Amino acid sequence: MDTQARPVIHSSNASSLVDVLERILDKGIVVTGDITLKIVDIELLTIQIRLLVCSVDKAREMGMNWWMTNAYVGTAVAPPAPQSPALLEEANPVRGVGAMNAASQESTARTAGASSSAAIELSDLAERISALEGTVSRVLLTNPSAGTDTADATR
Amino acid sequence: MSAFYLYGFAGADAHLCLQQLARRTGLAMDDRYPVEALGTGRVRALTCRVDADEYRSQDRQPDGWLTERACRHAALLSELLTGTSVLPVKFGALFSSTQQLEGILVAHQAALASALDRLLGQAEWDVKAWVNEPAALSALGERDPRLHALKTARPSHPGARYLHARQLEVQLASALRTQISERACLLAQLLAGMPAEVMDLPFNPVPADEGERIVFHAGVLMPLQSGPNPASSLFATLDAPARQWAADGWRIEISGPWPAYHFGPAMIGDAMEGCCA
Repeated sequence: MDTQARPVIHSSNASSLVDVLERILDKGIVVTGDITLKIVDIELLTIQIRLLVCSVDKAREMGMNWWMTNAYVGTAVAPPAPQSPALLEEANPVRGVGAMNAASQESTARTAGASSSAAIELSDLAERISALEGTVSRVLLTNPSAGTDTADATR
Repeated sequence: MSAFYLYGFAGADAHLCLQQLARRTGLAMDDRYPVEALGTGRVRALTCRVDADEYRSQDRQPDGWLTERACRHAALLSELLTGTSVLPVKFGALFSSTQQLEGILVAHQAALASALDRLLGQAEWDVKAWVNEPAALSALGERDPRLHALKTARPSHPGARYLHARQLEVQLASALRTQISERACLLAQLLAGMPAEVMDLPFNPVPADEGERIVFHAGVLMPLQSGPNPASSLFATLDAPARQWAADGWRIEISGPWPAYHFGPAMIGDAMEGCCA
């Protein structure tokens, strides 16, 4: 790079996929239509983009390398493996508009393939949160003096 | 079943701009249908027809489906920027009918028009400063007399040499932190002196590949200038520090022009919701 000729680099917005996606997925006026996109996928993509911005090496250390095969981010592109109808059927028992429950989140994560290791981490995290919630509920039920209403604990 | 995807809002002349883009592919969410400017008042809703079932079952779409649509969303708004005022909407607003979109236009006409008037002729630019840490530390070790003396001194005893090296690391790291802080302040001051709105933007300080990390990030809303360099004043403002700091492992990067993703309102009124049947 000739810094004497062009000390300030003009990065074309068309070439910076990360910049584009961070803006589109995270910024702009929030308008709620009557058809809801499944938020999980958008959040997963946002998480993926943020990881890419964060540190490629650090993400690799964590076992994430989804961008290596992602057609719109990675350089080593592999076409997505076709998914069998039976596998999709098993993985998506809940269909239609609306929030996905934890079970369908986990099923979706399992069928997404190698490019969704972030999704697998998310579902593992959801499981851990559920387990912790159960633990908290048991603690509150056995020890009402812990401070919260037992009605809350039984939710 | 059809649905209508909302890209954003634009001024009353948006339909003229869309006519010029009519032959372009890769802008509409579905290339079978054109992007249209809905509405009759001062504000237009930029929308296109899509297959609602495709969006409802997006978890079964191929990898990259969502990314491609996000890119189309961005591309359309960027193409319109030079021709009309553009107010981006966050990705994913779908409506089952155009009547609901028209309802939004009617209900929030004044607020949207006010926002569009403010953004007319303006564009957002993104300014980032990066530091290559190994290069910056090396440059500090050469240029700072105290650090250079510390660097060149080599104790003969291995243990002392080890401690000396650790001391040098700590001193260099501290010097780099000071340099980053001072230069980030200077960049902020330079931008604040421009006839523009400036906003601090978040960034992740964790180093990326090869030890380079971002140390400054700001958004600048300024008039979109005509000619081959539509941000000539911004480049001119940052030219001197970029030249001076290049040898220290610094680089300054500008991207844009963008529609005003960061400078538009987050919401209009209490919330902007399509009325449900």
